[in-house]
Amino acid sequence: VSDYSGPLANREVALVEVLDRALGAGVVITGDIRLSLADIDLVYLSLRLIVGSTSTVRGKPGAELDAGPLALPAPPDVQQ
Amino acid sequence: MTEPSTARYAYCVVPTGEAPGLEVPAAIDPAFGLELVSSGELSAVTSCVRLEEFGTEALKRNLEDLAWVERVARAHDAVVRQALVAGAVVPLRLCTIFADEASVRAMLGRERAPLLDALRRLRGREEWSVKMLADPQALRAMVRERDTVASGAGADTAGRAFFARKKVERTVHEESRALAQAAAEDAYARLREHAAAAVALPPQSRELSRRSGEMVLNAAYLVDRDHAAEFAALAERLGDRARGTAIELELSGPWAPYNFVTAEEGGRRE
Repeated sequence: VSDYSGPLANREVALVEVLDRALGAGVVITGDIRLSLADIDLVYLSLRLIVGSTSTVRGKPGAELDAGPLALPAPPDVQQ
Repeated sequence: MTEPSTARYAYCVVPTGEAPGLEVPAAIDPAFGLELVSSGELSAVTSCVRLEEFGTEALKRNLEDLAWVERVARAHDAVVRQALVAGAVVPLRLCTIFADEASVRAMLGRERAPLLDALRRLRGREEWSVKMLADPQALRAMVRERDTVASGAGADTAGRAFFARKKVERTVHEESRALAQAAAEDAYARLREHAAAAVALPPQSRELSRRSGEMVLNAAYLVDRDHAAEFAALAERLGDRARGTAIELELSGPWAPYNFVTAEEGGRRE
């Protein structure tokens, strides 16, 4: 499915899969090194920025299917 | 007295009796080995890390370095994965770091009840990921072909034809969206029946996932190990069917149950 051959693509398990879990999920227990959840979220956000993502929305299935070039305001109704 | 130069990185918590082997994989800092820190029936898989790399300031800096994060995240997951093979495991968030062994032990005591509860719930189960990727162009082409209304015929002026075409395209777009959404919801629900728990995660963006399609489903399932083959077979069948509607289904797993730790433990269970 992937059409990308850059550094993040198809390397064993895709990095995004690992990060989504290790960084985006898993039990949060505050350790002694104070890295707050907000820091992690920021890191995650900047990682997303590094790789150019804009999506932070948690959706229901299918919610993000390409709005595409057709999601324009409706043209005036010419029937009248 | 000298300042400590190392801290304890904790990867995951396991039942003491089901601790994984510690010879492999390599710890995050390969200069140190993996070590079990136990408190009664709970053990944390840990290793030493250098404060010059994992201290608060260094950590903030390093977490902005994608190559560094990749190395650490992969090493973290490799350790957690090994624990999953050995038995039940509660994966901890990347970079959960304690001052020393005693501090890890104190955490195990403090979090004992929720950790034991999570381990009980996760025992014999693993996480599977199901993604569905739609090809919007192909999907629209299919809808256009299906709907004879998509011809735009009957318009008697150029302007009217233009708007008629626009309207048809909008309909096609909506229908293809609905089609993909229905396929995603159907697959999500049917797989859910074969899982102990399920969660619909935000779709990964195209840029981040480096995929060509639009992600219409990004689901994680908690599956009984004994039912994993069945689950995978169903996913494959659903995938075969979805392919007929320009949607690709991807199954990956087993993963440690990162997405199925309870809310107060930071998770997002359904």
